[in-house]
Amino acid sequence: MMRRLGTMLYPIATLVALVVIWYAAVKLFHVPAYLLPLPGDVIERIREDFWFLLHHSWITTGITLGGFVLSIVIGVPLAIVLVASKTLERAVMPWLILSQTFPKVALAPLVVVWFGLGLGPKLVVTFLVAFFPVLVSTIVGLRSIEREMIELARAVRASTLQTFWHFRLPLALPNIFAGMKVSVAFSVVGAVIAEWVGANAGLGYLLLQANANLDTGLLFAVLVALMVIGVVLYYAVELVERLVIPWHSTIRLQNPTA
Amino acid sequence: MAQPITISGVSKTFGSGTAGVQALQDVDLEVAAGEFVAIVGASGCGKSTLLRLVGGLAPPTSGRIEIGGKPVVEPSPGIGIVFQTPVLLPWRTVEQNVQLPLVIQRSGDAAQRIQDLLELVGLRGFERRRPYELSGGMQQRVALCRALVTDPSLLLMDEPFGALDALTREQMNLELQRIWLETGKTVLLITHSITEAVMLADRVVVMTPRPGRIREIIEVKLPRPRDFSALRDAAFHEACERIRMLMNASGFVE
Repeated sequence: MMRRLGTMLYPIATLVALVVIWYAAVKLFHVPAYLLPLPGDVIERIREDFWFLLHHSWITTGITLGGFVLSIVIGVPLAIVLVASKTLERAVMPWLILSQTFPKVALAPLVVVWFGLGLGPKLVVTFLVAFFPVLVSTIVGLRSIEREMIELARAVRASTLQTFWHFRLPLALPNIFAGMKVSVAFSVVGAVIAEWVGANAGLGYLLLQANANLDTGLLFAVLVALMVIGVVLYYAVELVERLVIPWHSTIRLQNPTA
Repeated sequence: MAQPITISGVSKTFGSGTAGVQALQDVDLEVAAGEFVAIVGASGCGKSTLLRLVGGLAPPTSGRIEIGGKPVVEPSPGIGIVFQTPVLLPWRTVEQNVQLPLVIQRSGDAAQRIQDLLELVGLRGFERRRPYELSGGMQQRVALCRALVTDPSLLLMDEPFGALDALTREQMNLELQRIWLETGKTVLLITHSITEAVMLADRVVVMTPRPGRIREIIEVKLPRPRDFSALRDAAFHEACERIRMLMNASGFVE
């Protein structure tokens, strides 16, 4: 516990330093509040509008989680299919890669045109932003199996399904989790983009409102809320990872006493 | 229970045309039921390839391999294989790793048999440990138990102790000999250690590289059970020297 507190001290020290610099800069250069509010003002704004922010955060968290879950339930099986079929991989993979090169922000309005304004299109946009890391790391994980491990599976006469279930999939889990951690952070971005087009609630919508009204205080409050959502979800995934693959070296070597 | 191996005129080429690499050429070898045969040779002499062909993990390009009179076409349940690395599944306990072949073949849990095997290799008390909690030698012992759990009549070992330190390796050699004497299985051991080969085998097959061919087969006439004091024995010394000479003559110096 003490060690845990010790390691937490470093990021907190960084935060304090940044806030101090922020404060000093605003005071020193007389930055007007509509450009950069004081840290204290932002905190005050969060306190004032706490329930309001929480309501919108809740909506954004829902979209984030929905898109993230979609990324997993579509990304992982898609990866499995692509690894299983060389033909399909050759036909589909280049286009999937290409799809990642153009900005998803540009796709969002199109998705709205196609699917309307409900929850569905927002989940689609979030999914489009977030699924790729899951897909790629699952493919890498399923492929990176040692030759001798495959030979072992064959020597004990495991069927294709058994080889997948007892060897390939569990061995791919560390990679899948690595992809999920990137994906969950992308999901927050995706949800905000989704709310930029055709939403009347959520943190993305609030960002646009705050921007239009030059309400920099609110803007910063929303950014803080997004940060909190991102960090909480990231560590939630990491917690699940610890529970699911306690045997993996990245987890074992972090706390040798456990 | 043990079964003989007949290898006749076996060649193996990887790739085809001018890009093809011939790993084995015209290999003939008879291994009697219950015999312990070691195969030594330089890296790349095709000795691991030969083991994989016998194990049914790859087909020969030409020639025939029979185990107990039946041609080998795929991995058979009568064979246990120990690889260079333990390849244990890290999420399974020692016990569950040993159990793996039974789980795959849905043939009961055989708890008593697993206990006996772990006892045999001195791993009692480690049943519920995970592989990463064990030393390299202990991990390879678990792999040995896993290979033995289906009670195969033939044990194939591909440089199983190559990654271990000298002391652990000698200890494992003695254990393997003891297990072989107790179970009477046919054993085919691939190794690059001349001492290990002579220490354990009834016959040592010396292979030459590129393409892999059998150079000579040396009979080791030492009484059993052997131990490392036999190193000073004249017959032991003679066999080692002979093998070393054959390997050097084929352009290989270890």
